[in-house]
Amino acid sequence: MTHTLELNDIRKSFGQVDVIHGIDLAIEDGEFVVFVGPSGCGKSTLLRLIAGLDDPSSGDILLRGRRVNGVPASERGLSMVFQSYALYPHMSVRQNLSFGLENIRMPREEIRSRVEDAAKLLQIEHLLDRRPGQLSGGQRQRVAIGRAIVREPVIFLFDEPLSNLDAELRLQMRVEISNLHAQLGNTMIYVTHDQIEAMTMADRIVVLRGGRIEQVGRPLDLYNHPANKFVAGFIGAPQMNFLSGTLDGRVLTLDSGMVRDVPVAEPGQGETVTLGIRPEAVGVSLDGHGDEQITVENYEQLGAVTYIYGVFPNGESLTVQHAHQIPLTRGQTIGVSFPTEAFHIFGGAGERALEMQR
Amino acid sequence: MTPAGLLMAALGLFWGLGGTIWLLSHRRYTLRQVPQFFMDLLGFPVELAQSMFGRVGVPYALLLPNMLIFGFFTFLPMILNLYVSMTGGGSIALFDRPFVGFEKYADLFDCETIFSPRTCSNPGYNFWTGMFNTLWFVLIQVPALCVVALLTALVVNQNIRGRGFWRAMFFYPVMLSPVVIANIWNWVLHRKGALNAAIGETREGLSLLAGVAGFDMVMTVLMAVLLLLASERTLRAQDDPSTAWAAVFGLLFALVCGWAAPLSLMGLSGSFWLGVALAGALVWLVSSGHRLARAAVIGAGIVSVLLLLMVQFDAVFDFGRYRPINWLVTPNTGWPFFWLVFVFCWSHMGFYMLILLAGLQAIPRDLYEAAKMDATKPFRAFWRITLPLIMPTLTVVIVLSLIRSFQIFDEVYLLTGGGPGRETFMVVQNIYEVAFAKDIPDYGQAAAGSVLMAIVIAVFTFFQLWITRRQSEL
Amino acid sequence: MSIATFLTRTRGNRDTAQPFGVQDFLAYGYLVLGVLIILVPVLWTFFSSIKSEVAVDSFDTRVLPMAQVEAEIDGVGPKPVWIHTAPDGTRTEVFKAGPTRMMTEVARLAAPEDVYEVPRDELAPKEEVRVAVENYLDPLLKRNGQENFHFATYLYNSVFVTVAATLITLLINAMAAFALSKYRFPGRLTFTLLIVATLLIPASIILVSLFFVVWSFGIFGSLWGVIIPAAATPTGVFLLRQYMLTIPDELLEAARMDAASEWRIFWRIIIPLSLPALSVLAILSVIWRWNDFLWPLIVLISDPNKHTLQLGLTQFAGEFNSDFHYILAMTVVTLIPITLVFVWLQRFITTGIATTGLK
Repeated sequence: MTHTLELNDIRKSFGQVDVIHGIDLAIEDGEFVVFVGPSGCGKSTLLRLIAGLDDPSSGDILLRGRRVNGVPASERGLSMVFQSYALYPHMSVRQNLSFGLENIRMPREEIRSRVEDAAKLLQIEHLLDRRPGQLSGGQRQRVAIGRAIVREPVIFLFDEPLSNLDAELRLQMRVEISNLHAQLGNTMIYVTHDQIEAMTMADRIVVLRGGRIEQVGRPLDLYNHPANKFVAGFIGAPQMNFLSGTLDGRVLTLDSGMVRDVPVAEPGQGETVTLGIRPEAVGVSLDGHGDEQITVENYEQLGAVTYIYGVFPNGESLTVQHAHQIPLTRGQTIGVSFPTEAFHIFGGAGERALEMQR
Repeated sequence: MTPAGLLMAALGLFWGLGGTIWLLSHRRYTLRQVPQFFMDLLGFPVELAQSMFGRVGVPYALLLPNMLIFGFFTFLPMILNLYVSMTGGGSIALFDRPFVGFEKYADLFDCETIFSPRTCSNPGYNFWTGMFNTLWFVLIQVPALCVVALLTALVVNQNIRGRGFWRAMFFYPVMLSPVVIANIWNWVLHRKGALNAAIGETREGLSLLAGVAGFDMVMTVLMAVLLLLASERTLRAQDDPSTAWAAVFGLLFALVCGWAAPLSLMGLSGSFWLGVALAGALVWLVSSGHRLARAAVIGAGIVSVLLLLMVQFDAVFDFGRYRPINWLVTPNTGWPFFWLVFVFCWSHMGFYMLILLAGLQAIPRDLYEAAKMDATKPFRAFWRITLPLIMPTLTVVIVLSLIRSFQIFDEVYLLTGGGPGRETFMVVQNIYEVAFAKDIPDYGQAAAGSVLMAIVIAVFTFFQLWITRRQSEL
Repeated sequence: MSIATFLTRTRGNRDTAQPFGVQDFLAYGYLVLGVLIILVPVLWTFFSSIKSEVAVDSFDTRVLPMAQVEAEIDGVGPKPVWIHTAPDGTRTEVFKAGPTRMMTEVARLAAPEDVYEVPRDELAPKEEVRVAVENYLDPLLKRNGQENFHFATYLYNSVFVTVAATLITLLINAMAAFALSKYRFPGRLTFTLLIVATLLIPASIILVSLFFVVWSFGIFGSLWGVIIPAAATPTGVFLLRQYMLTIPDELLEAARMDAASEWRIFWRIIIPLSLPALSVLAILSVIWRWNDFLWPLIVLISDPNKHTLQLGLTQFAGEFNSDFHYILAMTVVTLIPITLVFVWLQRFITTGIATTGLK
């Protein structure tokens, strides 16, 4: 079976600067794939390579098994929603939607019906005769998506489409794009720097850093089994806690003092490792009992949850997410406990996650 | 049919016919898309480049027409100029022209001293006369034009009513053609024209008035009142003297000084200019907020009252009979040259004013407000904020007007024809006449002149850019 | 608020109103003086052009077009009417029956036979305001021997040159500006520098060899010889390039995703979005081409049928050096089209050139 999109060892450099260092990826039909990573990780470049707006320096891009390197963007049958929407300001919404169809010389009747279907789907029928300048941010976003839809593309490409919207609209559009994916069933590739967008929308997330893929997987797999410290830190909010320590045999000694047997697959030889533990996995006891004690530096009572920001005596900091309301004061000492089954241990080159015996 | 004609025909055939065939074989057009077809046909070379070389070929195809015209009609002539200047004879066929080396240049330099064109051979005399006239013209014209344009831009940029109207009025002459301008000014400056009539009538009226008994006394009192009012207003402004009133006072002072002519007691002339210089110094003192400003205003007030007592107003205003001047024709008066500068300013000022105005409006208001908070005097604000920030625009204006003034031809040719004698004979007119207006055209001579002129312009432009670069580094 | 404050305030609302100070007085004085210097010659030319031939030739400096009244006298024919003011103050309308001498023979209009003598200085012409339409109509309609001003031909040539040159300029300059602003390609800097270089090559120093080039192309003496060499303007390329740089690249990429060819992107996206800059260039180009003088003088002078308005007017003024009334009228005719355009578009022209142009 051929994949909808296949990337084989894609590399891209601008002059002397290498931006993408060899990426292999296969995307199945109908998948919603999110490229996520900090700014400058090459995710947008990768999207532009797929779109055909830039050409890779080496490697192959295969669309439905056909090599499309050098095929211009217009002939790849993809469509893209840009960060700034890139609506043609001098054309009405209707002309914006039909421009691409006119370019491939589609019969007038079909253009009309496609534009109207898309408008109905996105509930922008009443806006068809307006200019982009007369629309609100959310409406522009819909028009931009509409322009992508009418082409009936093999793959939709989204380049940070929600970053120009305010928080409330962003939430709403997130849901709408997910619904749209469910309705249309097309393959979608979505680029964002926001891990929440990635977690909520994706079938599969591709985490990128420095032009390399760090991990590919379903959202919860990434959350539960991050392949390395970077992914572990990038996915999830508040961020995973990282505590440094040493691993000797199967005994983990944290710098803050705690000693614990850990079921690592391969025993260590006294090397430095990092223990990762999610804030919500940390247990709290107000009377100071537990594996360690921390001093509360700051806390946030949100009602449903409480965030506690504390420091160990050795200066390392710890974030705790507690699912109840608890009375706290600054400077107070509380006890925290770390369940072993929630441990992620990162060590070695690239701080990869060590395998556990489960 | 000329080779160029053949080339054009071939190009047309390729474009029209080839394009139609190519487009129809690649794309389908319905009847409704006929306009689109013609649009595509217009851009056929670009489409072809894209389909042959991909997007890489497109910019070259886009640049092609523009660069072809630049190449054939700007760069090629530029190089040909050198070739033509080394050939002689009157043949129009380029390759029929005998090669004469530097003979044409030698003719131009055939002078005893180059700074005195009268000692040159005939072609040298004409060329160098034109060149020196042009240099004079540029040296007077460019600063005058820039100062007037900047002053006008500053005034229009004030918080005044109807800014659009004033701006449009000053721009209007830019739209007029040189022929129209020349006809208008020829008519106004005619010996019996409106200007002479107006001057004559004004002088006659003033002379009559001056003859009335008691005129001297009335004028003395009037001027005294005006002087007192202006100086009092200058000093009355709350914290420091007002610049605008100081300017009014300065003008009055200069007039009184000119009329009283204190220098003539020592047998010297130029009292008026002395007055202007003193008034200028006074305005400068006041506007820069100098601590001596008050004392200077008071002193100048006392001096002006003393001078006022010396003025015999009935003698000053008795002009006698006016003999109309033939502005554009009378030799050795400097008037033809003056009017040339004036008309050139009149017709081009608006354009440069607009550019400067745009530059002025790009200066953020906050800067002036900040300066005001720092108690900066207006004059200092102009010198330290406006001028440095307008400098890039001013440089553009200077370079543009420099190149423009060097090429002056239309206005001179139509107003004075280079006369009287050779007083306003400019270098482009020399080139034009040598190459196109003589019975036996001497293209080589004209080309040699063009080359020399190009060198002079290049030197001037680079010198100017070099100076302003030094300034902007400060 | 007192009336004086109301009349002299210059800006702001009631609260921030400032009195009309001496600074405003100087500013307005300067502006009014400037506008008078600009307008008076033009208006004076206009008012002179509607005066009768006699008034123009005698340099009548009154503003209104006064012309002497003529009357049809029985048995004598049309005669100019004079008013005789006798020493006692009685005024009589007369015509001159003989040559003008110290004592001139005159006769009343009603009684042409009854000739009597009056002192010359008691006679004054009887005048009325009359617009001398014939100054305009004679050359335009080729009446009264005025057959050398082919207004229609000149106007056609001028309009043709202006329109054709402007269209070509807009098209090819926009294409070049598009290439220089929106593509990264080897040689971009070279091309940009070449165009800067042409900015510094004034037309008049390549006059002679441009003549050779145009001659070899076979367009010497034709209107195309004026149109084509001037079509590529460095100013236009830079003006448009500067403007196109502000068009976001994403729009072009969106269009590429929409399967638009590069030419179609140019035509459908770039051109409509550059309209403000294009119209400024169009106006500049119209001013340049309409007012062109030296190059048309060289290329077109030998064929009167190819003269532009400017050349035609020059030739006309040269041929009839003393017929000021016709020259003035034709000057006004020549300046009217551009004045109308200016009045119609002035706000647009001045703000356009100021904001978009030439930085």
